[in-house]
Amino acid sequence: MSKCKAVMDSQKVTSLTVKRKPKEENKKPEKPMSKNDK
Amino acid sequence: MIEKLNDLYISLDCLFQGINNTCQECQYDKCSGYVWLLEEESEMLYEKGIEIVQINNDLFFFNSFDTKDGGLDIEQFKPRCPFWKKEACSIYEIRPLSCRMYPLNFALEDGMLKLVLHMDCLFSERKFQETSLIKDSLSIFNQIDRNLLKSILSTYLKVIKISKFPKGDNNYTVIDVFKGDRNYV
Repeated sequence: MSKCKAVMDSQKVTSLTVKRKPKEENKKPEKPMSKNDK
Repeated sequence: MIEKLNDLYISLDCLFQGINNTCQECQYDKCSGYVWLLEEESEMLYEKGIEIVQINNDLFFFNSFDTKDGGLDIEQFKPRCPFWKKEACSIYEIRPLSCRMYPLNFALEDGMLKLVLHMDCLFSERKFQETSLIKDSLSIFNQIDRNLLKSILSTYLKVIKISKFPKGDNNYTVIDVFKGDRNYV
């Protein structure tokens, strides 16, 4: 468990990618997100 | 010597044996805030189908974040862990180091990395007076292999460098300072 009160500083986040393992029958590419997408 | 991450998991699980029973009575927030992962944990969890958020190429987190304006709200305060379901951890057997450590955590103060005990936790409140908790925590962290400890602390340092505390710092007490050849700042 974790209960840290920190949040991320968006000024210091330069790239963000959500990685999800594709299901074998329906592989999709990873979804890169630009900073503006946050 | 604790050389492997899995051995550290076992040591921490022994240290905090019975904590779940205390959690049931605890009135503080449960399992919230973003959860950082070591790279090897992120790879293992990804393979098990868990969604990972990769930030600045070399930092990894659970996707605890709500969406906002078509993206993730990374400045959300204490997001609830997505694996906290029905008053229990749904991935308990494979939960990462930062979860297994709690209420132990790290802190960066005055350029020094410190091992700290969070006090907004009923388990900490009850056990803090028992010297064995502090003694056993120190014993575990003193036994961690240098390379493993370096990997853990350097990951934490990178996490803290992209973090901010708009609602104040965590409530903790310092129990050790990583100095000398254990200072990776």
